[in-house]
Amino acid sequence: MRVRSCSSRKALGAVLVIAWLALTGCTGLTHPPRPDTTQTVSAHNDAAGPSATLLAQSRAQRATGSYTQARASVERALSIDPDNAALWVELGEVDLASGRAAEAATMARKALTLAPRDSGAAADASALLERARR
Amino acid sequence: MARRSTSKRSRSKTGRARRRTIWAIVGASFATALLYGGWLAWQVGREFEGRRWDLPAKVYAAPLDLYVGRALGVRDLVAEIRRLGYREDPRLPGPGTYRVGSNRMEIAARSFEYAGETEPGRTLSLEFSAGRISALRGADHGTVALARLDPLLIGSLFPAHGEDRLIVAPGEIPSLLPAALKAVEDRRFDSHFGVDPIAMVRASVVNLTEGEIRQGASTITQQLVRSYFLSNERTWWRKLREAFMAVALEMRYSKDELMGAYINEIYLGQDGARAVHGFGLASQFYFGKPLGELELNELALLVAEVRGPTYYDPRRHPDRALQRRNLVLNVMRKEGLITAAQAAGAQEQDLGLVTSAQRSATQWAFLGLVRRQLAKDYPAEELERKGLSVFSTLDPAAQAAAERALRDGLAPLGNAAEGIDGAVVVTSPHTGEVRAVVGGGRSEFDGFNRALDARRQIGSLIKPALYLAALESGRYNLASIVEDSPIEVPLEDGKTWSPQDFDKGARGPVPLVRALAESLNLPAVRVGLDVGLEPIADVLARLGAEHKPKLYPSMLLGALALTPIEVAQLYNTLANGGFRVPLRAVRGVIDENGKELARYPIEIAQAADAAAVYEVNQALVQVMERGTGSSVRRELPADLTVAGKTGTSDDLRDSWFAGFTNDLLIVAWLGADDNRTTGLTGSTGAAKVWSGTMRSLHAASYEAPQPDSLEMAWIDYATGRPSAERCTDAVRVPLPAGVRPAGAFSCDGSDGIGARLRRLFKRGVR
Repeated sequence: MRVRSCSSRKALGAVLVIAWLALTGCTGLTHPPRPDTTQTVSAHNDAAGPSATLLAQSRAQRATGSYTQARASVERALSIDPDNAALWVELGEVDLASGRAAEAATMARKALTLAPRDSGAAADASALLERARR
Repeated sequence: MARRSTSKRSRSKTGRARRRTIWAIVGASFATALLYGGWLAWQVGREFEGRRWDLPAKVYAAPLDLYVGRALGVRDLVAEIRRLGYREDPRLPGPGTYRVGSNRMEIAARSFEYAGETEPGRTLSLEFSAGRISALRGADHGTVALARLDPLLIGSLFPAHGEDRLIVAPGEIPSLLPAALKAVEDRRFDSHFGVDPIAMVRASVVNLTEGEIRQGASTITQQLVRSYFLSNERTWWRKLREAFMAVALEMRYSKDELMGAYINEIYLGQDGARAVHGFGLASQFYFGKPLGELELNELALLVAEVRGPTYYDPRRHPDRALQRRNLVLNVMRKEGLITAAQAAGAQEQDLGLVTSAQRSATQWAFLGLVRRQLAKDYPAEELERKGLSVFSTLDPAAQAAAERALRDGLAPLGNAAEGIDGAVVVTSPHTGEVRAVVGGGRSEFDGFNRALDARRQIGSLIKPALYLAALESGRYNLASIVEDSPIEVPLEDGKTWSPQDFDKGARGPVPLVRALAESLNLPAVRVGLDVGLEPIADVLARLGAEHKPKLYPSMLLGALALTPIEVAQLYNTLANGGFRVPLRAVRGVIDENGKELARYPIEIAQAADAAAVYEVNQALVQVMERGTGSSVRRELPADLTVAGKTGTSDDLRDSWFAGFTNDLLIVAWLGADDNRTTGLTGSTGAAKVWSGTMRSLHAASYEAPQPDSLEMAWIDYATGRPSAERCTDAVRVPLPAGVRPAGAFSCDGSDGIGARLRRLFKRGVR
């Protein structure tokens, strides 16, 4: 399993992922922090993996107020990559933007259970949680 | 004389009266006929207009996403697209075709609309390595990040014993179809006025000599009328009425309109309780693909079926069907619709029907769930008539895998299996999407959807909830020592309850993780009584059980009846780290004009303490590694981490297995409908069905980030004392930060491979 998570699903973002893995030293960890996808995506990387593509699409749709389409994009990404914290943050952002603050807070909490400590996604989730509670 | 003249006068008077009466009768009859005729014309017109809207909702599976890195081999993808009715053709002549090499594949994908987005029809080329998609490109060789295939039409929400159809628009009808229908069924269709006197005379002669109505002289219009009123009585009166209505229709509608209605209306086969009407649905029913993609031999078979879908049923009477199909092809050739070479080529083909495995006929159970979820928002009338499209969460590969696993699980039981049936539910834990539902081993609905409606005792499946309540109380952790020793529980009625372990053993003090992994009853009862029945019932409700247990001590060993779908909800909340996501079978609904009517978003709620759930899940991994799930575990890839639990009710009436990985949750149940004993435990019956399903799907290991409040520690599995990785029987468990396992350090041997081998053969209890 460790081998697979390190070899990464995102062959297209391979260079970025490998660079990141080299920096974090995934191979030496007994318990790899949730690897590649979360990190590459939440770091606002332009890796062209499917969930990154859909995440970017959702953000763009959300920015123009197309919440229904944004939700469809991020839910499609979740069916591909269900434990990607950044996607749950994005779903929470769509909820918050469409006036569902309580749901947004739950999405943020869910993201926090999936995000490795000190990751970009964890920071995004904490920030979302704070805004959703206001 | 006078009398005579009087009588003469009176006779002429009565004669006038009689004439008047006759005229009155004639007039009245004429008026009645006119009224009746008007009524008939109105009735048939209403049917013609109304029928267009009488469409059961169509239910689609989730579309298959294709992207680099997806765990999907060439064979899996071929199976998926064959289900969609794509056919292999090295020339890739048009949408709905593919060609395949050893590690590559090209697909001419169909275009379609899904959830408001248009997926273009395009040629995709894929490469595979190590069971995954390694490259995905478009026709211009540019990289495609993400593509999806058209969703599989899985069925319709038609009324019980009702008609079903899939409407085809005039533009979707291959031009050869109306031509062939005219050639075979009604040669003078374009010139007659609804009835065909020449054909009628010819048929009458034949029928008079035969003494009854044998030869059909019905025009296509008459057949259409007959189909509207579902009458097959062969009387002259019925024929007359039918002919009149046909003429009435011809006066109001064009030939094209009538032909279009006929193509969508005519009865072409029977699928269990569902009557297959129209060429659109028949094309799916017999060949699993849209009408526009039919080959000549396939089109000819559908035309052949018009004459008698029961008599010429190609699945039951293939020889008759083949003979009639070839007859149709001959007629088409004689009429100049096709060349002799085309006819001969098509006649050489076999029937080319999709098999029931490709059609996955047991989807009725999933459709039952769809119907139930939609029933909250839509009246049956709307679902059965308004032409809605329902986008469901069904994963056809998971559905096929679960169906196969249940069949394979029931088969070896042989005669002992008489009356034993089962159910399987497959979900995606994070999103709560239901990927498959199997409601019984038979391919046709037998009236009982066990996945939704069989309420059965869950046995040891309750234990994770019980221990979750214990962990949430803060008084227990996975290293807590619990007693596996006899206990007597005084009951309210004055009697005493003396539960026993499954193997009647008593192991003495064991750590909680082992008590759960080996599903020991005595520690469960002890811990449960200590924690209290109320908090455990509360946990069950929070996880998603709809039925409340009676608060008797027997509840601690699972004297609580739940349905498989309820159990799936319960375990889904565990698999999801304590977040409850209501299980969903439907993503959205659009109306016949493509307008979105409803969307069912992912909704989550925190139902249990995330750290406590993490601890329970780690113990459920140990169930598979060392406990009652270890024999099942060995049937799965060695590097796959899975969490699971067996369940067996009293007297072996129910056999359960519930378990999950990161992206897949499966619940399997076996039992007899009359609730007698089955002789199966959780690990002999349902576990086989569970692992059979799991094996066929590309599961990703269960892994969840460790919550901050917990720390991992090595303990001795047997005794719960502190231990270390190098020790033979050490197990790594999460404990609340600062908690240390009790007792002296324990390490019985510290080798690697020997210990692992011993472990492998030692375990595997029940």
